[in-house]
Amino acid sequence: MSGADTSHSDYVGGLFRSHYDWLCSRLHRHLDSRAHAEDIAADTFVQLLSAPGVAPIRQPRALLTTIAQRLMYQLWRRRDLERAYLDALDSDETSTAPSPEELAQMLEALQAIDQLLDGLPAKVKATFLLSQLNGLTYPQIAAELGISQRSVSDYMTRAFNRCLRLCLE
Amino acid sequence: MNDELIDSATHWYVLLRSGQATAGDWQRYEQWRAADPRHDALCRQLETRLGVFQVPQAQGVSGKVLQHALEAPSSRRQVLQVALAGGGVALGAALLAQPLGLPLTELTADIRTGTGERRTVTLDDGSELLLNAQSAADIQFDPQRRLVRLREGELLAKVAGDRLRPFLIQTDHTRLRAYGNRFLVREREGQGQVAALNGAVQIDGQNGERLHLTAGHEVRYNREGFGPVQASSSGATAWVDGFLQVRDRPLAEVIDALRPYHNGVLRLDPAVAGLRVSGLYRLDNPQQILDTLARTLPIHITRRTGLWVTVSAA
Repeated sequence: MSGADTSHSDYVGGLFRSHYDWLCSRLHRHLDSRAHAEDIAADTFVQLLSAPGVAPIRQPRALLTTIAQRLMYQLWRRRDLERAYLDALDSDETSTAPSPEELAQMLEALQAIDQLLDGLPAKVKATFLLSQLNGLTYPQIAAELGISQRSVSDYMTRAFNRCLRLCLE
Repeated sequence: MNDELIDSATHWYVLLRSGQATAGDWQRYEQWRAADPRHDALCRQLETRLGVFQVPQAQGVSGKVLQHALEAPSSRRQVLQVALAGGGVALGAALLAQPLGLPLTELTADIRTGTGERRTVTLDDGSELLLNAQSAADIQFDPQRRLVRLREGELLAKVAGDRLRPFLIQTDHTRLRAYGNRFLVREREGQGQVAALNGAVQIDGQNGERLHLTAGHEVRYNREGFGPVQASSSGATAWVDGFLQVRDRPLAEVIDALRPYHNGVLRLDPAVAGLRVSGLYRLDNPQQILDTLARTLPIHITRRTGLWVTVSAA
């Protein structure tokens, strides 16, 4: 790695030595396996590493808990999404079973899409996905979903508005 | 200011997706985009974010299936909120520091570039890696060897001298050992290429074949094995300076070189994949390259939004 941010890595390294085991055992109480707890704890420090602006941290354990909590949401949401995705594939006759590589890629993408569209109403999501994935025009989407073209256009506005807002955050 | 910017960008994207946008609309959008660097920057960011849809597109997953998956109920969010909310901070200070459970260097090792991004990384030993767009590598140095694992994409290695530790690159299908100090390796979807620019490179294929590539030569390979060794062209490293340089190469190869620079899906009709192409192009504007190609080759470019581009016979 480049030596430019050595002091930050050293700092996070110090936190790692002092708090890694604590974080693992804390997480283990809420996760079904030790390995998962270790993964999440390691990811927590990776996130700290990639945020050089945060040092020095006054209450490292509070911050570590916050980051780890967010990562745990993501892990669980990922499992929920996986289950729902496999169910959806199962009930769709035109789909074929994905290979393990395809499934892994897809779950990664699904999680990103889930975050991208998080908080939008189901109709807005449905509209945006038909445009983005199936390449349908607004009249086609209106017919498919049984809504007016005016609504399609409004829903697309909401979806793009959210995505663009995320870009500027 | 941001609200205004978001509103006008939203207006354009909603219009262009409708299926009713005219050539004039596209032109006015391009003008708007070019009028202010912030406009262009925002569009690029959006295109990067939407790049995630390439995965379901490539796997032929419909909007409907995806919609069902996204409706998954969030099962345990609330339970967790309650469980973690209390106590975490107060427990702290009494616990003793423990020895490292995981080497920190492992955590920092991954390097990665996004669409249209090139990056130079200096390694601990002074070697340099130049990563082309959409590439990823892990650095695994230890006292015995310097190992770089190329997970995907393309890199140019400038290797620093070290008598004790060989410099190795591991890809999905080959392992390279550097004897000189500059070489290039690319592997995407099972298709690879190695060019020895300065000094030799030893290549071990997955079928047990071994090839000794001398300076100034290049070789392509795939799952079946190595192709013929050829004199290396200066085009192989043109991307380092942001160019795509080809001389009498098939269109398919040019399109493959553009993919890491294109946000979205880029489809090529097999009927025109074999057309021969020569030229020097600026990689940073793949849309312009496609337009230029369309002026000189019997091909037609269809754009469904900037993200979904098909190259077919004219």
